[in-house]
Amino acid sequence: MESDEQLYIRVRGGDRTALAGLVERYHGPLLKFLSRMTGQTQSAEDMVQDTFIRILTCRGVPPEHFRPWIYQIARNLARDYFRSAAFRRETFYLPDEDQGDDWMAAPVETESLALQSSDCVQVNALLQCLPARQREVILLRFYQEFSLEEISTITGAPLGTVKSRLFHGLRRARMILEQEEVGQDE
Amino acid sequence: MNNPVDRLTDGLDETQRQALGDLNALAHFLETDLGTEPETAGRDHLLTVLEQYLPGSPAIKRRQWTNWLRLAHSQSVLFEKSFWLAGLLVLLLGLSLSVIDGRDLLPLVFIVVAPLLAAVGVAYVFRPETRTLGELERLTATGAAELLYTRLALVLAFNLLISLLLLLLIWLEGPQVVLWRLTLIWLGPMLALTGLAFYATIRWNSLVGAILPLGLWGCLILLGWSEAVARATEGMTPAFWLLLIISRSDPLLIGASLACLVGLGLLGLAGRTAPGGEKSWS
Repeated sequence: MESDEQLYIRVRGGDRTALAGLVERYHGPLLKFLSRMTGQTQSAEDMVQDTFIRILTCRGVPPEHFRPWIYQIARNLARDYFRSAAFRRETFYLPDEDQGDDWMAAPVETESLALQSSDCVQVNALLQCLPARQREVILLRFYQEFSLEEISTITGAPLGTVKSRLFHGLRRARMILEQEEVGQDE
Repeated sequence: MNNPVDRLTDGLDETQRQALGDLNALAHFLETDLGTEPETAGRDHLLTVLEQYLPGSPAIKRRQWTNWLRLAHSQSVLFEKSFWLAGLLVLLLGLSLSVIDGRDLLPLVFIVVAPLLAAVGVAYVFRPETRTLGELERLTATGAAELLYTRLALVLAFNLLISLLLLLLIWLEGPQVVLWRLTLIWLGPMLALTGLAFYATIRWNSLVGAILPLGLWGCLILLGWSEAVARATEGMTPAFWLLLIISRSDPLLIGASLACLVGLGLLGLAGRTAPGGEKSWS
């Protein structure tokens, strides 16, 4: 089977079949990643399209490793989305003081996950309770199965920071889930 | 790696794993989410849209100049009033310095300050608060490099206009000054400093983008300014004659031409650094 990198080189040569191949491989995974990241399917659809447009309009040197690269683009678009005026209007926005940076979706209040109608929505509710920086690391590790080194490349954060975000994110997610279970028992 | 807990914790230190405790419940809970599968119609639509961006697609047309103007207009909203006011202030300052009698030294101040305005302006315009590229791209499907260069053109055009007006005033006061040479000698440092500010801002951040050209220009001023001031204040060479000498100096002209090339090179290099989504700014 042709590698992503080979397909991408053909795409840059204007090959429609290669483009269809890349879309086939990445449309679903990117949509899932961005939907979980933003909690918004429609915005995620738009971002997937933007991600592909970016790789098509890229004039730089083709990436050595295509998969981390395309996720890096998607992740950056998600970051832009959190910074966008539209997002700030729609949500309660707080700067991430712990990280000394200003992009982070304000974690939503822990609502009762049990009130959500499906498993998918339940998980989404839990993920949206996490700070975006922790959420993206968990998503890239658990669902996309990137190594922590690759996640470090994608997010531009040092490996130690990635580990720390994963650790704190998991601890927080576990705590929320346990609280939810206690609430259900009561 | 099928074990869902390993998928969560692989790569973490042993102490971190132990501190996290039993993550089975969390891992299985996360596993229940199969995610949003795209519909076939949605994929077909995506492919149709993307085909327009394929290299060689007839849908890709060269941007008309009117579109560039529209893009420039849309980007001009990023320039706050303070930016235009600072430029106008320098214009007024240069104007007043040029017309005040008996202050031969003052026009030199303008020569020193003017290139910095462009460099600081570039760093200012590309500061983190104006990074709405993703949002704009979603609306316009405009490439990141196009947006960057449009902003840059706005900064340069504004500063160029101001500086040309002031150089014109100097020339009107002393027609012996060769205007095109003086303009090129001024343009060289401005392009080099702007290129440096642009590259450093894109490559690192706006603070580095402001400090580097300021530092470089400061060093050059320290090297040459004291002698120029001494010669002007001691009456050996009036400031106006210094300008005259500057405008007629071949080594300075060659140096400025080289600085122009360096500046253009840095602007190009910054553009190549920017596209592709590999840098975090995108």
